[in-house]
Amino acid sequence: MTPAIRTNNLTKYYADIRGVENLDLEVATGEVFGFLGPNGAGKSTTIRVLLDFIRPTTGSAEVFGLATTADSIEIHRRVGYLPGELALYDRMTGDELLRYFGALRDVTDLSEARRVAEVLDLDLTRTIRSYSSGNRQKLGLAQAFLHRPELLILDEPTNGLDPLIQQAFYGLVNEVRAEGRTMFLSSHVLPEVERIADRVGIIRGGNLVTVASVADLKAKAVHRLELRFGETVAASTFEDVAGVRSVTVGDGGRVIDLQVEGSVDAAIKTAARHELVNLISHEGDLEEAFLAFYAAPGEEQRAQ
Amino acid sequence: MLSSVFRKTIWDRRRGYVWWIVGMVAITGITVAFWPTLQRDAAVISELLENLPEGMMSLFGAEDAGAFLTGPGYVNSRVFASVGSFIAIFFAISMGTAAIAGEEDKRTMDVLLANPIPRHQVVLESFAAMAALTAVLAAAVWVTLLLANPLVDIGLSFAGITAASFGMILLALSFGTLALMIGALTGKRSLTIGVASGTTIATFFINGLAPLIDSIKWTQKLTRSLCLQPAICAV
Repeated sequence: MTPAIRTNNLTKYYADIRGVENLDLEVATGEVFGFLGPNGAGKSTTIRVLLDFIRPTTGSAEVFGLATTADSIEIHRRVGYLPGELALYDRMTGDELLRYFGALRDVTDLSEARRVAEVLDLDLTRTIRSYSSGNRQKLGLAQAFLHRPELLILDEPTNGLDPLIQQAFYGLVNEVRAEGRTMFLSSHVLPEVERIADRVGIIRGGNLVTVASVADLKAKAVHRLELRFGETVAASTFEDVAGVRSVTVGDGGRVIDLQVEGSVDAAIKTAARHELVNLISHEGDLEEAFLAFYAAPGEEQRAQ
Repeated sequence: MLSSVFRKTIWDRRRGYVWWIVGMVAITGITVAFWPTLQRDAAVISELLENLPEGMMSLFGAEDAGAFLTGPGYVNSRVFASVGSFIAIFFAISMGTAAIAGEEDKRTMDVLLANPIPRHQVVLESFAAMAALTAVLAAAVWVTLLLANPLVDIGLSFAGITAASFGMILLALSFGTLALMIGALTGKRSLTIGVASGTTIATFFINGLAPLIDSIKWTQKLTRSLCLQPAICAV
């Protein structure tokens, strides 16, 4: 079966500045693929090549088996796109924008876009100028879903959405998955991708570091636990606990910071033996969670 | 209304455009309304004009003081070779700039081109919208002059008014298209406005001064071909 997206040794340089290098990526139809990496890693560059907004320096990319440089119109017909740096026509209302883009796509039935707007709690009667950045993002999503595309390419879709609306968006992702459509979304937030994607590609410094199923990555995810005790606790208490990768002691032994890989079960049980005043669990962000694993040996220091 | 790039581009202008029309009609109307006064004091003005440097007359599209004191020469000088054409040109430049450079500047180009429309269609429809609205602006001049002509007895011919108004469209579109082109090449809004407006003003001065300066006389062939003084070409 033709993959939804395939890049072949894709390299893009902006003058001398690296966009992506030798990217080989394959996204199967029907999967939700998370494209994960810090800002500036090359996520948007890759996406913009897929839509033929920029051309590869070397290598190539295909969407549904169609070359991005030759068949971009046909690709655009079958793809819904949310740009990373979203800008919309300020003087239109949300509804006017949907009607305009609907017309450009020869789609007169806007019920899908309006439904998405409603799910995301967006008032389409107001002008875009009066929208908050979160509302603009919602409208950006609504227009991407407008024609019920086979493939959704969403660059940082939850940017600016408050947590409740993010949940609603995750619901939309699940619908897309259930309908057998494909979604390619970029993010710099690990927990989000973990939560909604089937597979994850991690990009860093323009290079694809790894592609793995979310299940595999979860096993390796790193949490940071910040423990505050009512008594002094020695660092050595945690040093041999399963999953603990590093221990930092602060406030005269009353605060302990742990980096825990995988399950935090053992660490919590150990902590519970002391007088625990407070516990804060930070979801590992990309840098903390992955780069230490996947960085080249020489780069490990910097990643940490 | 929002069913194509062409219609959307016109829709974008729905608020400001009426003021361009009002301005154009006002300039044209006021110019013509002053004609009777001008004629009454023709002797004084003629003397005044005689004392003006030759370059000034040439700049404003009158070959000599005598031409300025005929109806067509006066309207040509005040409307078609200066303010009126400038309004039309700057309107066209503003639309030519908005088409690509403006869209890039507001960063809406990505989301627009993600729709299944070829890039050349965006350019062509933007051009068509610019041409249509510029034509209506020139038509406002045409109508104003046709209505005012018999009222103040200024002696314009129907053919002259029509030709000059049509020339105004072509003149404005030359510079509007230049802006569209620079915008498409660079994607930079202020650069586009700057270069297109600068070229307009430079052309105006070169065309006006060329008859007086031997070394740049040849440039008039270029600038005249832009019909910068359409009424003289036509009337």
